[in-house]
Amino acid sequence: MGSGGRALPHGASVSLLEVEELSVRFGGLVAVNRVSFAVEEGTIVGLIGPNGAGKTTCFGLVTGFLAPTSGQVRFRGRPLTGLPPHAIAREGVVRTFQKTSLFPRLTVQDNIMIGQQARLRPRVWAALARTHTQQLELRAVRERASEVLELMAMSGVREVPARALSYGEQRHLAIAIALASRPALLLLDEPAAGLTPAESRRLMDLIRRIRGSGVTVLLVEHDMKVVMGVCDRLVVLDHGQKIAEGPPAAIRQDPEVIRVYLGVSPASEAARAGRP
Amino acid sequence: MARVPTRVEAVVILGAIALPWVLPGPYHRHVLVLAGLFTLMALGFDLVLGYLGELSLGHAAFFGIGAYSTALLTRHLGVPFPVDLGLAALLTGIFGFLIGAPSLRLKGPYFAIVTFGFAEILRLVALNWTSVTRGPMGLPDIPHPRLGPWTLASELDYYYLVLVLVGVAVLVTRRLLDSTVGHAFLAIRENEELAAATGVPTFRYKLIAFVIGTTFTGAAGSVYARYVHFVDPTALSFYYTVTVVSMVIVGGQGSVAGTVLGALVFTLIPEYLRVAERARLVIFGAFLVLAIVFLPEGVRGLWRPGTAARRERVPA
Repeated sequence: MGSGGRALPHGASVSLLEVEELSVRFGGLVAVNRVSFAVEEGTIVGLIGPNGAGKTTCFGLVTGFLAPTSGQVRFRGRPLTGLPPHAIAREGVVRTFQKTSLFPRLTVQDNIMIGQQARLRPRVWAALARTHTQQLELRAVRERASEVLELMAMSGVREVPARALSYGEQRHLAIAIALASRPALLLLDEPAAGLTPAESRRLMDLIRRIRGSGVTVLLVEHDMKVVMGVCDRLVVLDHGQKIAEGPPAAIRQDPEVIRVYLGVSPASEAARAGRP
Repeated sequence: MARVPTRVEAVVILGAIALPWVLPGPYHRHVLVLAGLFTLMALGFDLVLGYLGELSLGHAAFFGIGAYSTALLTRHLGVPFPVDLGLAALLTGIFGFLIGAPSLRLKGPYFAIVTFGFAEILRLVALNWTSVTRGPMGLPDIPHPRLGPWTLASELDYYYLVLVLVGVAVLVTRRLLDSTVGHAFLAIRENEELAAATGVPTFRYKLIAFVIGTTFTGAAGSVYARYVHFVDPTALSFYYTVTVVSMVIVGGQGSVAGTVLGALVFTLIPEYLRVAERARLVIFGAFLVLAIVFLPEGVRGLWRPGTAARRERVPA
């Protein structure tokens, strides 16, 4: 699959993340079929679509948890395809999971401390010799944890085991863990699932603040209020194929998207689909 | 990541030094030497089960490799102590690497079965490679270690030798855990998928922990061979693995103190139950069952994450 001659979706400048003709086949099922999109630095991009559209599979392909059958993923122009998950995290691409995206039995603070591995190079001999560098690294990890706790307004629960947190707080912690290693690109897998409206609003604020701190965000989400509220661009998948891409306002009007979500296409229904 | 206060540590260390004087006589001291050797094995084993959440059923093989290494090195090459101990630990570590590299790619029951298989293969090699191991006749006449003018011969000498090795193993384990390497271990045990997503090379760390754990066990085997003067293929028997698994699970996985306690209890109880010879195994079995019932996290931690109950802090 030569990519040399083909124009990228977003013209000449290299995007932060480029997904190109990505496909994966599970037996007879083509879960993701030649999907291409790009994520520009400093934006919030939403990956949406009905259940089974291939959104989470796409996440798995980008982050190395699944191997694509064909196609390429590039980050800052460098190929990620074929790298194991931990190596991709070390490139600055960190994801959350829909379920248990935390270390349940450890305290909130410990969760955030051990979430920083992507930017560390732990050495066994250094640990055994208790070198100065190792001690400095530990201190830096502790300081970064305090910083993240502050940023996420979670300092009050730092000593609480993660599994004792409320559901909403657990979702929050999942994001905190992912942010702990200062990724360049944060992939959130349904961060609003199961949240109350108040928690969703808090989440939207948080995602905007994360972007404000220089982190690019790609999220899979079902909650249309959240998606329409925070995303700069949307990529719509259905049955493994990209059916639309563009700013939220345009996606709301897209007849194909409306058909996929509602099964019919009257304009009145369509308007309701996207509106709060 | 809580630390035991150093005052407690000091009491434990002094207690360990004083123990053979509280329990004098060759028999008690013999039991203490065995307890120390099992502690060393259990510490190595717990690195894999307690901190990485994988159950290895091939641990006895590493004990046997350590024992045979020392037997062969001293009998044929006259390698002096403690060089043979170091070489035995190193050789066991190399075997740990060779066995861990393929099997740690598997998880849960698959890993357990494969390690069990490797251990059985090694046992059969020890049994049948008679030109080297003399098969079931074993290798006798392993000399007592000499250190300068001293010969370590009595139970008391061995007890302190084992105590030093246990101390080293505890120190190594502690230092690893109190570092960012320990963070990686914890991340793997608590949520392997998330660990990978946050940048932990999970396979590499599992292999590192496995190799370090096997060297502890190899050292235990080496000292055991010296202590009993003799090694035969039963040193690789599944019995040792089962014993160590019980010790660590009942004692408390992922906890150095729990492991040491488990090893002590599980050596001492079966030994001292010998007064009630007929009922001995029944009582011991009942004790095991009760331990598992009342320490349920032990059972739950069998395949997946080791328990961290003891390590948790109460919500503030």
